Amino acid sequence: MNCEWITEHICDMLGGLLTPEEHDAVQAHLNVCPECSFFVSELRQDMLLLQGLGDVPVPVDLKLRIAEALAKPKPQKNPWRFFLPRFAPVAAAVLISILSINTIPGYMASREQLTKETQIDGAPRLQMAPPDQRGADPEVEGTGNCTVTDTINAGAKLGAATEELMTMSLAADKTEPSLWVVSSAAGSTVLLLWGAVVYRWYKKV
Amino acid sequence: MLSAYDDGELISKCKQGDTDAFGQLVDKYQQRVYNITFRMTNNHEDALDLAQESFLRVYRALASFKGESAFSTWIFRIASNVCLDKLRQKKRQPHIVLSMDSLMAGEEGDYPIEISAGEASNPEQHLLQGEMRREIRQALNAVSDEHRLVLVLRDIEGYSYEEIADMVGANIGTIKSRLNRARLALREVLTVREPLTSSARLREQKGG
Repeated sequence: MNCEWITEHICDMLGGLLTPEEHDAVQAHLNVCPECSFFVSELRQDMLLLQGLGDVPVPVDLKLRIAEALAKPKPQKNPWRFFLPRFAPVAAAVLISILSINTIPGYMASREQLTKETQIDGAPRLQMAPPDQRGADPEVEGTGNCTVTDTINAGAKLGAATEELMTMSLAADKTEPSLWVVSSAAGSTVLLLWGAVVYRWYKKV
Repeated sequence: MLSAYDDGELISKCKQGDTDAFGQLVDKYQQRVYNITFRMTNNHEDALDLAQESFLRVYRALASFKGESAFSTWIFRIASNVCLDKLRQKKRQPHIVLSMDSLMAGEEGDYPIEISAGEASNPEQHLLQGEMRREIRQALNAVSDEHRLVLVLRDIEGYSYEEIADMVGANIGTIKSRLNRARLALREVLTVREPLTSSARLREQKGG
């Protein structure tokens, strides 16, 4: 038995919850420790003072105020005012997540495909005509950059490349269909969970 | 007028929309609810608002009361939560000050003070006890809300540890430990302040 034990067991001491052995040990310690003895008597006096505070007079109008408040019609809840501000941010966040999950890989794939396409051709898509050949054809006068043949060839190549790119994208979509499904499912789950939380909240309020 | 019915009957009537039955429940519990709200806020204006709010919540939630705990415990749990919510709200809005009567007057306010025969026969003793009560009330107001709540429920209102655990939603060990800390915190506040209570006790001890 020491001073620390006394401090930690004030509650049981003041509540009379010590075992007879503990009680005897505490008494023995209090007899030889004036600090603890004074401390315990102070706490006991505090407790007695608190117990002596007693009842507080209840204002007479409490019951009347309660009756008046109960008589008033309960204000109707507007579900939109409750749900909209609580759902809008999370709905926006989920939408942005879905879009970014689906857009960024698609964008990266397109870039990779374009790079690959350029490398396959082994030459720039719009091949410039040599300067000495320019101006020979009146149809291209004023443009001064490339011949009609170049343009047609370039257009044809571009069309073919785009077609090929689309085919490859579709193929990529077929090989990775889970990306869209997973992100949509994740978003829907988040929304559903949040919906359940907000609904419980709404019912409680 | 105290009810001739027990709580169960009154609750059944309330659930059927009988507001008179609820009035009888208010009669029965208003004193103890008001004790809690006043001790927690230390002013009549807030205590009245919180007591009203507590009873309104009780009325609205009566349908969900399944009788798993005593009705009295359930009411005091609601009152305790209403008080703690309000006090937290006040802390978040520090510009809101307590009403004037909390700064100026004691718990009696404009109400008549009952003086026991023993107190009346010794005015000096009565004055001293009044001062000591004021000190302890101020100290109670200086400890944290959670500490104040267990002190109010245990030492002032005299509820058992089991009842307090049920009201506060904690186990008995936690309540004991919290009460221990609360008593030490209260003592610390009283020691730091002008130790009127201690000197008064010494005088009493010498005198008696």
